Amino acid sequence: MDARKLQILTESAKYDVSCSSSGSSRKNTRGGLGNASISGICHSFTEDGRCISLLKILLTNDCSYDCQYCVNRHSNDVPRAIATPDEICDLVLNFYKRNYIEGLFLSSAIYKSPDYTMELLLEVVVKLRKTYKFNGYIHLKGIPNADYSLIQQAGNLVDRMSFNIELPSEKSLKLLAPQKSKSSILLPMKSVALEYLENKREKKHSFLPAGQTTQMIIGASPESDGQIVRLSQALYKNYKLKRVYYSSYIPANQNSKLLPSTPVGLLREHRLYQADWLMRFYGFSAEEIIDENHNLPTEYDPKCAWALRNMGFFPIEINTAPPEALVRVPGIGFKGASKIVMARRFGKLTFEDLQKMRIVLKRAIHFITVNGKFFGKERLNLIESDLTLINTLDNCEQLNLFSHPELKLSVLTGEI
Amino acid sequence: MLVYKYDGTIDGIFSCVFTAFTKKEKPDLITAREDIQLAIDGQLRFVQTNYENNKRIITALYRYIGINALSDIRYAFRLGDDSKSSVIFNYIYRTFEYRKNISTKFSEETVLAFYDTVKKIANEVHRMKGFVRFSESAQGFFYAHIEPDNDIADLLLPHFMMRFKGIPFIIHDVRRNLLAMYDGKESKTINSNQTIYVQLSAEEESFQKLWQTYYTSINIKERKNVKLMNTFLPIRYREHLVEKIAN
Repeated sequence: MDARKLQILTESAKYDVSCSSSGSSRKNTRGGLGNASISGICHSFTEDGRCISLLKILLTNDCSYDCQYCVNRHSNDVPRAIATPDEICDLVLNFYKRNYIEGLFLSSAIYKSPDYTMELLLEVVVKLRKTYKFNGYIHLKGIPNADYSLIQQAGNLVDRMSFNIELPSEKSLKLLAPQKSKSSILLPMKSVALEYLENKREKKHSFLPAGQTTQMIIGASPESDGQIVRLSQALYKNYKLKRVYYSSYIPANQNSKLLPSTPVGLLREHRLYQADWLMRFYGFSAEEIIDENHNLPTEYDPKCAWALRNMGFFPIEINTAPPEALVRVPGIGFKGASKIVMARRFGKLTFEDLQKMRIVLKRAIHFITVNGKFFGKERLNLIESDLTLINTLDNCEQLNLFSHPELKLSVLTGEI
Repeated sequence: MLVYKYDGTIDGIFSCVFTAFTKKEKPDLITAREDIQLAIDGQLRFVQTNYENNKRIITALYRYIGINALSDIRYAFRLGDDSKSSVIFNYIYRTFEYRKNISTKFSEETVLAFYDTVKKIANEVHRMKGFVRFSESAQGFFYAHIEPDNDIADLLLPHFMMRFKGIPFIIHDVRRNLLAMYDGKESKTINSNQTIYVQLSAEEESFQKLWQTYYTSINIKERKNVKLMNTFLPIRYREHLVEKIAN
């Protein structure tokens, strides 16, 4: 592939947030190349602070659809390119051998028709897996409205698949992406979910070992955080999604009257990720986190907000509280909670012990007792202003990346 | 202030523990450094490595900690600076005082320091799995030069051997003059001061260029956040990364 083509096909793929290469432990085969690492591996980081794990590229950016928010929309005057399946394979294999990447994240514009596009994507995947015996990670984008049998075949070869919801409601979708519909996205997601569960029940793990994910654009349409968080919860529950990604809206097309002309900023996206983490790992429900028509607070994170609304739950005693209560304390995460639980087996912990263990106490202090003693402030408004102040001071710090307690290592891959 | 000086081997640290217990004293610092500066009231003890005495230390460690006792300690010993000497010594010393496994007693500073050391190394191993950059040689093998903080080159071998199955490669730790090698069948790690010349394959340069193009194109300019990049991609690793050399 020549550099110019690579540049066009990469620049049109870059707004897809997901770059995760985790969740699959595909093994190498005889005479094959590569495998997948369950925790995922980041290979580089770009100036926007995002990780490069997979070769994220479009097969083509030549699109017959005209979605308002998309750089590649049909009516946009941008350079177009199309790569052949062989060109993609060659790039993947050679980048992989040099350890530049964990594998491929292949997506495409709707070229000619959904079926035709899906056939091309499938051809790449079949070539990589069958002809070249490539066993590295593959994340394939599903094409809405494509024949399900094509999607099914692909699902048996790749590690992860995603259909992008793009906009968090049917109404916005109709307005901004007229050729897509809620059902064209949700139906294949549902079929894939059923197949995934069936495969798991048979203990085969051959169909999408790393599951499926999706992405929503935040701020291009008027939905509230409350609605978005509820949609995510439904997707996790009903469709068994591994991740929902949120992408803060950036005006890529200047001349659209239907879209806001200013970007949303990263704070809203950040708060949504925090809420998402609370649902997936901390046992919170969407209803606990935020009312349906409200947005997440900007002054402090959603866990702090929940704690302030539920002061009756606190203070909890560090030396006796169960782990699921410990992780509900603002400032105490999974790492902190598991350290506390392990260390208190050796004897009662004191306030100084917690400091030595480097448990971050500046937020937690208002919500815990240590051996019955309370060190925080008594009045709610004082606690509130304290938490706001801490947030302002921390504001320059970026996302606090979560790492799965079982993995021991920080899992950095694709978390933003 | 009491300082123990040892020979810089892991067995030397075991002998320090033995010495401390037989002499009923607790050194403030364990070091293998030649250029040690003693304080005015400082006392220096040279500890000779004694394998016979070490056996008693090792047996006791297995009894207190369990079958993983030595693997964790050996792992911690891979740390790239001399601070490991005291960290490992203190951890063993404290375990002997408690006479049980205290590896998760995080309210204990010595335990936390040991745990941090192990984690530091594990983190770098994980990072390096991503940051190793191979070049294809004209002879068909792949070569990468790295400069990790800790002595971990050989720990990368199993990971890449599984992926490369049959394709030979060399990972060269240029700071420690170590070559972790795989010939397509077996692997070994050797010490070598030789400069290594690799004749690159005809395609190599073009793929390096394509990778640089990709690196520049995938970046979203509107979301610039150099600070975050610097956290994840420490500057000291960059001279070995193809995509950062061009920038």
